[in-house]
Amino acid sequence: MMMSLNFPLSLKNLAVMEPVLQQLQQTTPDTSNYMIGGFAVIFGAMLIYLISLIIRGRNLRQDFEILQELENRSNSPLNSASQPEKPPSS
Amino acid sequence: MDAKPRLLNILDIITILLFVIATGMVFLYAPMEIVMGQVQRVFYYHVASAWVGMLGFLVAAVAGIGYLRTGKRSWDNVSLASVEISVVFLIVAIITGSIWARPIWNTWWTWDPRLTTTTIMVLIYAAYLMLRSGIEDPDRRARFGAVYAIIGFISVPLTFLSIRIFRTIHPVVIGSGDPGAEGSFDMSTRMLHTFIFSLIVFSIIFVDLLWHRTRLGGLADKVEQLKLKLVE
Repeated sequence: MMMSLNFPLSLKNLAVMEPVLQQLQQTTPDTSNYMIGGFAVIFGAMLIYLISLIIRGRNLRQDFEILQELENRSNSPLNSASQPEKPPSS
Repeated sequence: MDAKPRLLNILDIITILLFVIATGMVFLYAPMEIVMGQVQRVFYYHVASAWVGMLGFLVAAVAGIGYLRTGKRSWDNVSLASVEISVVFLIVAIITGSIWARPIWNTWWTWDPRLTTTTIMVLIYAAYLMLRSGIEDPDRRARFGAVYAIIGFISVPLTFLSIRIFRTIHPVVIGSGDPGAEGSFDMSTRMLHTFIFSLIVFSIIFVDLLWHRTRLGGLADKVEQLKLKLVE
């Protein structure tokens, strides 16, 4: 059977409840360390991923520039002139 | 080589600003939950990370369909980028969930349906990344990736619905969950504002990262093509 609280909500009753509320607040567990750990993981993982994107981008740009330079060299007329002529197929 | 688009620069700035605001809301605007204490604040980014993870797998599946229909390599690039970002965010969600569970469930890990299905989902997509890197032919790799992303997506609704179908101790944030769930709480208005804002901000972070990662993938394609050309 449910008990009904039928006392009027007044300042006096609130004053009575204050120690109970204070006790409730005191019983809130201190989980700050877990919170710090959780946010360290979130920020850390995001930072590591961002750094990995930057590093991969930089490496790919370097590769691209080197490969483009190699391609330009292989296509240059000087390079093709220096190559030995193929003997006639006959 | 393409220069970084101006719109991407703007998006970067907006994303950083929104992330700072969201973090401010998590610590300063949202009240402390009285039963769980400060660790409850992890919840905002934990759920947002899991949301980004699942959103990314959806994008990957859609991009997979796009590739199979058109054969355009850009779709494959989007699919790969989405999976990579999602795996990172889901690993974050799993670790933060574990950290939250330690004081609330008194254990770092339990083989609960939600935790188990999430782990399986991450492993499925981690395998996608590993198997892809083992295929040399770009067209075959893209075709394999597309089919895998579509089939792998089955794990996403299963994970999402696991806490609504099975008996579980994992709390259900939206809708009613199992009465045996531990760590459930009623969100106050400020908590709800922070939660929704975090979801929006993480979605924008996903779009921003996806754009960056797709550009990187495009550059990787060019490098691969140049290498093949020089070898020939």
